[in-house]
Amino acid sequence: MKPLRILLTGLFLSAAFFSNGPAARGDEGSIASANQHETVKERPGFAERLLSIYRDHISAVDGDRCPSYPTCSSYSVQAFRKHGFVMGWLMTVDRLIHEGREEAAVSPRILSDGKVKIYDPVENNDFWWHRSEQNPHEKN
Amino acid sequence: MKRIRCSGFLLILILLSLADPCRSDGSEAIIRSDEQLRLAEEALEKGEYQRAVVELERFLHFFPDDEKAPNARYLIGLSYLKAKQYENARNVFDAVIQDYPGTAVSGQALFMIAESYYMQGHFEKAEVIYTRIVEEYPDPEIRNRAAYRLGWTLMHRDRWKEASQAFHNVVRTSPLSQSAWDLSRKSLLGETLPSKDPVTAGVLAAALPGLGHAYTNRYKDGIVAFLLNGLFIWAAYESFHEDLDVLGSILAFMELGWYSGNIYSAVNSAHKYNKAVKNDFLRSLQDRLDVGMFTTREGHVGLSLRFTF
Repeated sequence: MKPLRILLTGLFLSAAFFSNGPAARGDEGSIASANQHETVKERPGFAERLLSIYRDHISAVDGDRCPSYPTCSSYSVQAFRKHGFVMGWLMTVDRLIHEGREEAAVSPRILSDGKVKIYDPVENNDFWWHRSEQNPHEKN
Repeated sequence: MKRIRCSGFLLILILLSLADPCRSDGSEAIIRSDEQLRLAEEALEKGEYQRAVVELERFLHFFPDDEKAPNARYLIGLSYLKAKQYENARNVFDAVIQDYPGTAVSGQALFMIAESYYMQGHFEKAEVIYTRIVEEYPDPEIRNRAAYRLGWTLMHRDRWKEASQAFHNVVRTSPLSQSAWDLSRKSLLGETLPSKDPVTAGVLAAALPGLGHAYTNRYKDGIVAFLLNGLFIWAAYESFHEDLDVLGSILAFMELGWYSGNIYSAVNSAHKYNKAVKNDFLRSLQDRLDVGMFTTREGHVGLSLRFTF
């Protein structure tokens, strides 16, 4: 009975988090080419809804204490939209772990709302595995 | 009698107005193609790229068959490139290549497409085009420029020996040759840059959360990763031990994310470390090629170099 309960809970959690799946894969090329433009999903996933609750109701009261730009919640939403749930999750955990001052040694700093922040967008953390679009000038 | 006088007065007015039909208070302007192109170039030099595009399009509207029309179209692409509107720039350069095949301006346009990718950091695509120019284009100066930039592109891709060879291919007569010779020698130093192996970082992080971060010199991040994973594993273990299976499953599910994220983070840290070391090294080298100067006051496109002392 015990393994069954564990299995059911795991299945429920997986179904909840994976319900909306990854962002539209067909648009990934345009994301890479534009660098700044993110694909916008029409319906937010479960993880994005959780992040929205955090951003709107907790972070709004807690204040902006994130040393990085974009903030962790914004970064996370962008990562989920760009790469789907699994990679979005991994990249969010990565961001939460490396949010500290050690990141400043390898990332540039920018001025945001009058504060010096560490510039650490999604493309600075997926550059080593995320493929960009086909080159139209490549000779076949 | 009164009616006749009024009619006569009106008749005189009409005759007077007909007597000087060209008289007008306004003045007319004559647009000359050279002046119009110069106006656009001035806007480009001042950094007013949107105005430069408008003036160049005005030039093309009034002088579509002018001999400088291909250059004007090329300059529209250059304006977009300077304004960092890379897609627009590529579309314009593409059209120039299609409409004027085999001409010098089409070679310049192809080079600029490669430059747009280079400026965006899409080095893989830039490399393909630079290589094509070096191998196929007859104009020696475009070939030299492409070889020079190919060297930079290969350095960005950690292919130091190939980069050195690419710089070596710039011929002695080129204004870039001195810089290229210097870079050909210095680029080989890239082989000796310190680096962290991403695979090692990942394996260490999998063996013990946090150890991968320590390997990439991020000790605080390593401690954070170790504590987070340790806490979740301990909490999940305790929950199962106390027969709180649902809570244990939730915690184990969360821990799976922390553990996987810890491995991803360690690998990412290694890549970012290598990238930072490489960028510091590249910043210490001097790039003599400035794409912003490929215009002349006569409206021709050409090569200019920026020298920094």
